[in-house]
Amino acid sequence: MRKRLYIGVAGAFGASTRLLIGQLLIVSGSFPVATFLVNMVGTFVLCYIVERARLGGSLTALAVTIITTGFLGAFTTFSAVSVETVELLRDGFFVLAGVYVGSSLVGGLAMAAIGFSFARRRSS
Amino acid sequence: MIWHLIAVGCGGFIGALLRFEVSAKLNRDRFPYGTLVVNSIGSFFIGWIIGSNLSIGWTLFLATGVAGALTTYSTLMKEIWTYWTKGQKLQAVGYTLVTFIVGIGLAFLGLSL
Repeated sequence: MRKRLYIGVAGAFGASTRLLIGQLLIVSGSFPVATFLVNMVGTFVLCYIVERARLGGSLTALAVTIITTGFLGAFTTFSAVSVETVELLRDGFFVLAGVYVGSSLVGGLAMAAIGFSFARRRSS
Repeated sequence: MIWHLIAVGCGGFIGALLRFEVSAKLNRDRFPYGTLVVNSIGSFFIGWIIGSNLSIGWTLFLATGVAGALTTYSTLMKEIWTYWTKGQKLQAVGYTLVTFIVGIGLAFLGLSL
């Protein structure tokens, strides 16, 4: 039960931090920079932490779950990517919608690769 | 601003907890059904909320908070990348296509309601 409370609180902080970054970024143009940025940063940190933990890092299993499932899971978001893509398409920005999905995907996988690789380098 | 953060935080608490429960039940299989389910439901829900033109407070609570935290991008990328590096490239591509097509389709459906 306490684990659920921790995950919920971490999720609250993750979602609020996502909002803060969205508010602090001064963005011009239609590209959803804030969502893109939090998803890239969150993916890198999640993959780094998961791989470090797997290789016997110093974090406890509970701490890893709170940070990854709680904070980073709520910090990053897929639903915003979906709805922002639909809004771009609806407003006629077809190319930008494709660029948004494509760069989120390629960028996210690159961040995952870098996160895993950094964790392995630090462990070896 | 502080009330906006509190609204999103309350929604984030609910969304993250729901995702944890669903993932714990459904991600045991070889395929991450849990992540696919939360990402799909959350995409529909955020479209529906944004299409409903609620007040800023309710939109922040339900869309940015609940739907935003219910769905996740970091775990999705980790799962796709893990498939790919394990040599299960077909699963990686299939999982990616299903997630994005269903997600964007359901967000469109939600917005159109």
